[in-house]
Amino acid sequence: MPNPSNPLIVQGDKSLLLEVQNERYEAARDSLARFAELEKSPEYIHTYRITPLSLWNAASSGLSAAEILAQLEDFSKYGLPSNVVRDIDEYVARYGRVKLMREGENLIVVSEDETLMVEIQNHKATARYLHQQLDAHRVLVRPGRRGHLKQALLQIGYPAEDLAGYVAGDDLPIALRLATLGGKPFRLRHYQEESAEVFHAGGAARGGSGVVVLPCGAGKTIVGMAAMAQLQTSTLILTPNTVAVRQWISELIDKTSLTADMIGEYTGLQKEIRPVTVSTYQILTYRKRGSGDEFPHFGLFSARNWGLIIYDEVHLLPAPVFRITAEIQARRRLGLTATLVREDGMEGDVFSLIGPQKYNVPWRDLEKQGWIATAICHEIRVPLAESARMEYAVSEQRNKYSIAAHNSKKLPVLQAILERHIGENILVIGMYLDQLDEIAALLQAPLINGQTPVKEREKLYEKFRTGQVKTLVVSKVANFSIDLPDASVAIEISGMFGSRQEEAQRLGRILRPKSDGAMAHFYTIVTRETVDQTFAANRQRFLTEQGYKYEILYENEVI
Amino acid sequence: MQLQTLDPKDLTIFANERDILRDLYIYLDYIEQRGIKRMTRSNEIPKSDAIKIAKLLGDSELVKIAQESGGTAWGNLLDQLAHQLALIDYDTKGTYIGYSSSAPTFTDNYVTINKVGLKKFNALTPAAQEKKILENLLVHTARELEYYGVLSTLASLRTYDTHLDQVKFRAVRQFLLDLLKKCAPDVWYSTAALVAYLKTNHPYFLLPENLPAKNRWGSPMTRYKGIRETYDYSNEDEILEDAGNAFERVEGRYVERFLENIPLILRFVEVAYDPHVENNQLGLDQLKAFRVTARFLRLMSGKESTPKVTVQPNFEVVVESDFYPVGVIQKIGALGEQMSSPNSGHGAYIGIFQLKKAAVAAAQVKNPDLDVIALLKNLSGRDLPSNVQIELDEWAGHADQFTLYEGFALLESVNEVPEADEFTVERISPSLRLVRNSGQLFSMLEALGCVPLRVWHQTGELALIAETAVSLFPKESAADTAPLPARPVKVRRVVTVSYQFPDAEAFESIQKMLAELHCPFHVDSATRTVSLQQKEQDKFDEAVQHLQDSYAIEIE
Repeated sequence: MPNPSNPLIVQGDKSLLLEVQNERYEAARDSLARFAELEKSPEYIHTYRITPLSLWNAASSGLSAAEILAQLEDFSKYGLPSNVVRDIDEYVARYGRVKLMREGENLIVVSEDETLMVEIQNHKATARYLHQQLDAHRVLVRPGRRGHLKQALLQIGYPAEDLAGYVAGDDLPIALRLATLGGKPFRLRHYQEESAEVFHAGGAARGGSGVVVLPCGAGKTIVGMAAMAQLQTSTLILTPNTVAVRQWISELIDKTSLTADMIGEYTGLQKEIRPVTVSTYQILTYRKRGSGDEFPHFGLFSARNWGLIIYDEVHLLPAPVFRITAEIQARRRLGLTATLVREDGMEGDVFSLIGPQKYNVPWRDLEKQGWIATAICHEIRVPLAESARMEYAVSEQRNKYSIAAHNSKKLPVLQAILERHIGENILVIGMYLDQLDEIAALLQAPLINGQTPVKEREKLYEKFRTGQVKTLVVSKVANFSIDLPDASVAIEISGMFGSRQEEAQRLGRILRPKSDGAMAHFYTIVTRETVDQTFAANRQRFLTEQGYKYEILYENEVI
Repeated sequence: MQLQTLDPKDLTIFANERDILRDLYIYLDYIEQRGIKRMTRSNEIPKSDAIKIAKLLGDSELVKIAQESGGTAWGNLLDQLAHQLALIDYDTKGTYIGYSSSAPTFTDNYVTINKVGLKKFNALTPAAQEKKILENLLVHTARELEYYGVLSTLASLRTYDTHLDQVKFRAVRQFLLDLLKKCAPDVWYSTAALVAYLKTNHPYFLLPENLPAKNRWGSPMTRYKGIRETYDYSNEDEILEDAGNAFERVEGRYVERFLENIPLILRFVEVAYDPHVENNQLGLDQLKAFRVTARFLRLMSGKESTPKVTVQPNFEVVVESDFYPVGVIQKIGALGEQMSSPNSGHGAYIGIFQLKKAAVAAAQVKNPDLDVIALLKNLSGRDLPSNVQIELDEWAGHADQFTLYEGFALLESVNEVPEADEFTVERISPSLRLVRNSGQLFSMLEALGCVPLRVWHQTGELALIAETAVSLFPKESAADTAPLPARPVKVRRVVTVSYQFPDAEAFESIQKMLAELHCPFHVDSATRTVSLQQKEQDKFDEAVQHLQDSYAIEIE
């Protein structure tokens, strides 16, 4: 029943405002995570939003409209707006009104609702994937069109519940080790175990495809391995880049019973296809110039009888891979990501082709439980060097950022920060290669940029991990899917505010649990009263919306 | 009072999302900033103003009505309310100036803000303002049975020479509101149950028990005489006192119409209608259920909490209040932009504002004594997030970095011109000075034989100086050396899809089918490939579908 002391406000536009400093906050947050999307989480009031997709995700996990409404009422301060009640009822009821099922060799689409079946058969988006009406409630689906039909059904607002099941892949015995190769004890954390179990669903058709959302540093790779151990089948793992491929391979060898000869690398450098094969989106979407629409490496999907396909960093999945995924719906699919937000707005395709969200834990929760480090963001403002002021004032707009970013006054601040964190593992991140060269020379630290060969990069990462190298200067290449477990300080010397994904990834670099429980620090050095500060304002807003403590300091407070 | 509850699942629920206090202030702002000249004959608000006001209220339905009929009932209610509350002034009597009818004429009837009245109203708390509006509506609302209300759905009754003149409507409305206070919030009750309760316990709540037996002309009167249910103008039923359902047909109807009037306007209730209401001209037993809002009970309880203001580290300010807190909104609204939708969908006011650098600097210029940090601390009752405090400090500092002078000119002279001294505001350099009254100075310089040259600059760019003039500034020849802008070149992106057919027969068939479907395509016979633009994909799929009976085509 609505009560003024409750923490939640449900707005007519379907946004939900949740007060953090309320004794029922945690219970409300856990409840909302099941059917609403977290939009932002600044210190005092978090904003969620109920969308058709969030409701269908909830419905696919078995939540009913009545349960959602009861939970909203339970935590709400005010009465629920009638339009919200009506929409929740309507959208939840849409999920599962259409089902995909298997009858012998045939795939059929089934619905109790005769009129809806007529609509589906006549709608331009869906009709082309249907073959023949069997009766008023059942229609035969064209072969190979399972994924396309699911996309089309979502598009017309009736997401299908896919109960058609999966093909069994080749058997592959896989077990998780109790101790890593290095002898450290190893066991799944409770949320890793839970997410793998929810995904597997005891082998039932309602499980087996979906997305697990966990923050950077929470061990998504381990969730993938746990899923493989549940299914005991040959697996294709797709990742964003070669470094990530190598890290998957070393993690698999380190923490599972798989041996090196059972794992293949399928990249630009090597083309091995083995019971477990790890590849990149880049190689899959590679095509020769002038070869039209042909992707020669798509053959990898049918090169073996895969029982599971893992899509790492699923929010980066390129469009052509969606297309091929639509045609392999009979294989189990696990998406792993820190965020479902896609810059291209293709969240609907993730839902219909990879599967609904199966598990989600907010970042801050894991941080509180000590699984990821607590991070503080510091913005250090320095004035533009006197010698560059006139050049900045008269330069073209497009050159202004470069002048501000190269501000020579940033270097003493960088050195002062480094002195504050002597002995810690520090990443210095920048976007201008000449600036990074200068910094690397000044600090006598190794530099990783786009030209650094993969082997050299790996060697440096390894030295960084083992503590032989304490400071690493990196360009944008370090942004995605690399694993630097002991980086506790990141200093951004230059870098325009990129996408929300990019910023999340950048901070993710330092959000790994620290063995000593120390805090992580993210510094940005910004030139005052220039466009550099304008970009920093966007970053500030984003990071505070993510719930991080944000501190602004001036040059004289650091040096 | 124990009323039967009712599940509104199969009913049409209506909740008024308009906040009358918020809308009243928007109307007052419009008058203050734009002003309204009322129409000469009808004294109504002109259509153009009605549309603009509806747009400012952020209600697309009102905009549509205003565009179609020139005004809206909601807009008129705001206008009347503002006038009755002495917040605005305008002439309501007019002058008869002898046109074709006896109707008065309203010449130059401008609506103006009654500053004294508005100051008094502003000094009230939000709840007190709501109560003031309620009191005004209780007194001034037209008789619900006979007139359409602002949000009314149900039909009105025709009456002639009835006892309704004996009814003290102000007291009746207050009595019904007092009954509603006893209802639990957010629970749907049956209207019929409320009417039944009234019939049993308060049968004379509307028409008094003892009514005169005759009318003013001495004709005999019955209790409900003159109240008629109208099917159309030639077909109407008078309600007889001894009819078993006479109470439901008169008092019951009144309850339905009352609910959809003042309580709905003020969002004290939400109502649920029979979904077939439009087919029933008599409008009886149509408002099937109602629920009282927590907002109503909070107002009636007299307990008023102060608006809660939260400043977040991402520069958002969230304002939460039981009632529209105009004072707080005016202060915070001046520092940024409102991001939330105007209507919260529930009884309370929730406003989300984003603090903006330009707005803070502008507010600071307008009021140099304004301490933004202190203001926000005071409103939120706690320290601001440290990053916000530092930024606000910087933003406020930006307010006095530039001074804009208007109505001035720049005087450039090779020699000293002492005659210009009295016009000079600032000497910039020996040859340049900032002067006022440039027209007068120019005439004087001409008269002195200085042969001055006057250069008018466009708003968007500075004009170039004639080649013969002596000046520091760029001359016309400079335009020739300016680099030509880059020549715009458009590139079209075309995505082509290719399908390779290992089967020669299927390859032939698909070409024929594509041709039949008028689909443009290219063929490479050597590789048995059909290529087409991606936009033709639907036609290709259709062609494949046509061939499915002959070939089991599977696309890899």
